[in-house]
Amino acid sequence: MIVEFGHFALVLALVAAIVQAVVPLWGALRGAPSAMRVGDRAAELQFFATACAFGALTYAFVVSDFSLRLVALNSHSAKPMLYKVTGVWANHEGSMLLWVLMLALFGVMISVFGRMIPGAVRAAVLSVQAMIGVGFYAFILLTSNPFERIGPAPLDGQGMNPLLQDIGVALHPPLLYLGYVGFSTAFSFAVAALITGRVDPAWARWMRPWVLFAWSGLTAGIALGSWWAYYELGWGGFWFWDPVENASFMPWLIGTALLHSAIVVEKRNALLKWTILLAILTFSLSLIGTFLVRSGILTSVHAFATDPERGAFILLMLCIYIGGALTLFAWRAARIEDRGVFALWSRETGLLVNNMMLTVACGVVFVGTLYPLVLELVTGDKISVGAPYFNQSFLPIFAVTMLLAALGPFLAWKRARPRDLARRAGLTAALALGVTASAALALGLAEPVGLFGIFVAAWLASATLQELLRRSGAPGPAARVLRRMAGLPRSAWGLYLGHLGLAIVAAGVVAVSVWRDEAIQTVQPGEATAVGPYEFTLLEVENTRGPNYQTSIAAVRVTRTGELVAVLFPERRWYPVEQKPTTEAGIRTLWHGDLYAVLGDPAGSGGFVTRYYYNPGVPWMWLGAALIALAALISLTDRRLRVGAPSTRRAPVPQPAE
Amino acid sequence: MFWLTLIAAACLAGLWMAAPFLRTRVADTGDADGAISVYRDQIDEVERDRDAGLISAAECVAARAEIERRAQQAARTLDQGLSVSRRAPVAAGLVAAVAAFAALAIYAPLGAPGSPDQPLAARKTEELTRRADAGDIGSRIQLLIENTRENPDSFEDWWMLARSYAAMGDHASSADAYRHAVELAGDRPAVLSAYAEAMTLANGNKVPGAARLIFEGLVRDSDDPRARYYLALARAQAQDFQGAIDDWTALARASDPSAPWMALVRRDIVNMARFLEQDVTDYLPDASPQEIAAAGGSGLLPDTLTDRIASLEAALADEPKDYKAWIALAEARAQAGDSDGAAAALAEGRRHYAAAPFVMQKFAEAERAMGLDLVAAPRGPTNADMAAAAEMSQADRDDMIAGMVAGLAARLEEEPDDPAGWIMLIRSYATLGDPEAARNALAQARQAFTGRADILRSIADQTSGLVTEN
Amino acid sequence: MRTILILLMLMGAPALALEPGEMFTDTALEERARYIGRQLRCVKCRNQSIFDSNAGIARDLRVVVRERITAGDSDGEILDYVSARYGDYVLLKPPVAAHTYALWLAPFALLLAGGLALTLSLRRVAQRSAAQADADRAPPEEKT
Repeated sequence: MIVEFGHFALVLALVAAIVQAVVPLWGALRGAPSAMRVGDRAAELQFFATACAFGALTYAFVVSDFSLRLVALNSHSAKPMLYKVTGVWANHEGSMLLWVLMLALFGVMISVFGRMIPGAVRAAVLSVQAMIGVGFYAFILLTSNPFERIGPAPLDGQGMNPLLQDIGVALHPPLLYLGYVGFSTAFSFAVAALITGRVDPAWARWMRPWVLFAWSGLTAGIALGSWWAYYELGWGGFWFWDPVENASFMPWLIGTALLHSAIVVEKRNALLKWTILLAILTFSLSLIGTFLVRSGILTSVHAFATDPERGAFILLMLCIYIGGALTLFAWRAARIEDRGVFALWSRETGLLVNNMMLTVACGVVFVGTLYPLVLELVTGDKISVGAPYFNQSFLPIFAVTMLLAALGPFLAWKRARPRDLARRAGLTAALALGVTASAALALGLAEPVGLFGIFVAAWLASATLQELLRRSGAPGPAARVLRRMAGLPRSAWGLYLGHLGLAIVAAGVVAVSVWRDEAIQTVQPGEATAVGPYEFTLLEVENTRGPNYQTSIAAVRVTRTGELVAVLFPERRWYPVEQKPTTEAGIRTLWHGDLYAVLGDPAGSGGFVTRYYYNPGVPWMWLGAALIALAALISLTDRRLRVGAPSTRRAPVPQPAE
Repeated sequence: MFWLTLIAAACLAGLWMAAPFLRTRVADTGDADGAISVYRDQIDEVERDRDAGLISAAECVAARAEIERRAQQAARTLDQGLSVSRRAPVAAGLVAAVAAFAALAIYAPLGAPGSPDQPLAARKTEELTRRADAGDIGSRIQLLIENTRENPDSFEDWWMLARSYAAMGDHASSADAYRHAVELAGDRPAVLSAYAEAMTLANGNKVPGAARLIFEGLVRDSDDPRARYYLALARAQAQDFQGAIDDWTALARASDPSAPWMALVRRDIVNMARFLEQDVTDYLPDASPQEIAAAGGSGLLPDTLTDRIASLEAALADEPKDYKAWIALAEARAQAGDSDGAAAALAEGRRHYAAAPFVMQKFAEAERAMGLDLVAAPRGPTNADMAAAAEMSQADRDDMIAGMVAGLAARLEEEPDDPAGWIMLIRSYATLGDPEAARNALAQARQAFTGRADILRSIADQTSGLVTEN
Repeated sequence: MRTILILLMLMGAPALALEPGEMFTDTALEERARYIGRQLRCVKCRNQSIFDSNAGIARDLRVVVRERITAGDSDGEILDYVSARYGDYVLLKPPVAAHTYALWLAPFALLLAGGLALTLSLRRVAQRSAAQADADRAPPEEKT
């Protein structure tokens, strides 16, 4: 009866969330500490109960309990155990359960790691966190219940889309949700600030670790999704400007802005209202992302109508949460007083410009993603907004953002000297031009767009490294520079690594978009094909079986000027249960690019259709993305951000000086 | 028991949440304390930066002053004092009771209280038995696989499994299962002969060497009719046609005329007599007139047969896209004793349908029934010529495509339940520039899927703009 | 070309987006075909261009594009030709027309609004700075 206990646990989580939403908020407003403490207790119970429900569902998948409708529809007894487990969240209901599990996890983490946050603030934050939870628990229980039973149970399940039977895509939702749901904490802090009327540098410091953590997860999640598309979809594309991707990209852009503006609040007590608005917007976009993907509205406006109950429920929740928070903002923001004072040339202005650019960039993606939907609803005209639109509108804005991102760290807080900025920018420009020119000459590159992209990446990288060295006291004795470099605060490292990672991603994206080599052809075993500087030779194709699929594996030898570089093993799989084929590309990663081979259909008389690519820069994209995610985590470990770590010195509160 | 557990869990959960209300004294230090430790950290940081030489002393002083200003502001609120709450058993009871009751009340209508888990492992056998009893071979095989896994020394289970596989037409698996049976009861001729037969069938009805050895052993030791039949087949496959027909004849003589294998044996004798252009009555004295005709002997129906052949040939010259006519022609020629002619008819038909797998299969079946596969020269490549299409002349290519489309049409006529096929056919006609045919195909498809709105819609979607209605 | 199209249609489910059979041997023409292919949407897929898609309808369209190229049409003519038959929906880059003015102007409008908001808030900060500077210069009343 584990399944039914799991179902009950989910109901219990809903009840805990309701208690957590009501009692601590009442306590915070009334100044009743015991009621505030109920919030911590309820958060713990809510997480425990949701974890039990999730565990019960996982159990049902593992033992293939097909009396659960969800398991019967999405699993199969012949599936490898790993994908039985990941199959738990590879469907709508399960993924929503994962969503609330994450939400409850963040709630309990705020309760545990936030002991030093004052009780009233913590209680209000937990209460808002639970309000979000109530809506989602109700949504799951009423419209998407994963514990729904069917009788009689079928003998076997219907299987899972084989495209999803892959470790990359299996880990994608948890990471993405870590980001999406992680931003709920920022939302809760923002709404709690509006309710309690307290916004100050301390508030920003309590909130910022959560934003960093969520943002890191979202970065990794997006990169993982892109990586999966790259190796699984079989033609080496990694970003499609697909609405689903945009849905995760928008919170990332606004979340990036939030990350930067929260620094201003923390350090300079400025941009308070703006930061609160950003926190609300970031999570709102996460919610919209969930809504866009889950309601089916993306595939067509009409798909929405096929399941109106679910879609209407989500729409209602969007209105309540986003509309409610924004209304609260409009009502209470006037009471928040922005006191920041800074000169026109200052780090604050730089971050404000960064925020503006990122928000505009996000706005462009937002318009491009939703315009076709809105247009169809309003006029009935069907249009598509695809990569060409985004490339023309988003990329220039983002390129400018990156150029400016290089300059931001050059500016001092409060008041910077424009002359310093000009001097350093000049040096940066010289370095970046040098890198671009030598790349063009050494590799014989001529495409203007590509060279401009390389210039942007080199500009950001050289500015970042320059600033890192300067802060480490260079020029000076190497030993001293290194020592000081090691002693730099973790948050500074976060800045440098993050910006450097972005430059590396940009370089990779530009390289693969502009200088990819490809060859598509029918070849006989033994036949060689030239791809850029490489020669690909199909050696042989062998048919074998996997755990739940049949497969043809090809061996492809890659040589460069006669020397063996790699042997690739691209596969074509056939999943009989699901009646679907998949392609598994054969990839060898070199430091400068990927060798990429795809096996196609047999083409008669022993030949095969093959696609070979040399994708320069692709490894840099993944490296850069990993660096960005890591940078956020490093920044997170900064001693100063460890929430609630009381300083060991129990000195009296600093008294008014003198 | 189930409900008791739930009630206990609900009450526990309620009490856990309400516990803070039961504490005698809960104090909260208020907002400022945490904030002040934040500011203290910030001051430390500013001083660190100054020590590191990142900011000047003057900047440090200014920054310190600013942070201290904020800290003092925060400290002022500290004076508002502690908030304290006392023990509140009523509140605790209320929260706990409402929570527990709500959880139970919400669960009751949503859940399936008390319904047990049904892990696959626990109910598989029972479910499979139920289905196997209802005649589902797949389930029977599943069951038997389980049995053999649990009890690999049971001859009965292996034997049953092998026979079930054979009934499914999965001769490779059947041979595999028979091999286990042979290992357990290798001394039984019936087992050995079934094993060798499965090997042969799995090998595309060509007797493999290992099977021949088994059959030979069986013939030596016992008089197994199956072994004798397959040995004769093996001789035929080794091009010893005379030896094969003699052996089959001997087998036919030794067998009871009503034995189940006699139909097969007689058919093969008739076919072989025709190839060898011999009189079938030498081998089968009791041959029926039809058999004699089929073997090319003194035909009872020579005129009608000749007429039929002539009319089929004429019709096919006009319209070569009629695979049934090609097969009929081959059968007629075979009946008239013209093996080469029959093979030629099939080969010619194949040429027109080179890229239509369904029709090719029909040709192969006809060929097997006429025994042509034993003697006819290996036929040319069928649809492996995708690549060659590029080098064909336009006329040849058009011809090949017309064949493929006709084959598709033929298959859909017999198996109309294939929406994708219909769509493909309509699109092919449209692309070939034959709107008439496309329209007809669409009409046929609509008829085939009458009342199935979803399929009709998808057909309409995918062929929109291709078919001009009139 | 037509031949190859039907052949491919009949050969059952192929797996790859672009097939060697479709390709031009002339690299310049092939470049053009791919450039155009990236501008056109596979109507059955989600935001995939026909160049990237392996759906049958995408292949039909690719072949049409190649036919038009062979016939000597310019890139613009080909896009017009296709959108005339399938509607604006197939253009991944929507045309600039009455119903898309808002879309195409959005980036500029957003930049303008962003710039305006930035200017306003910087001006407000400047005023505040001036006020505080005055206060700092004035004799300290009650230092907090």
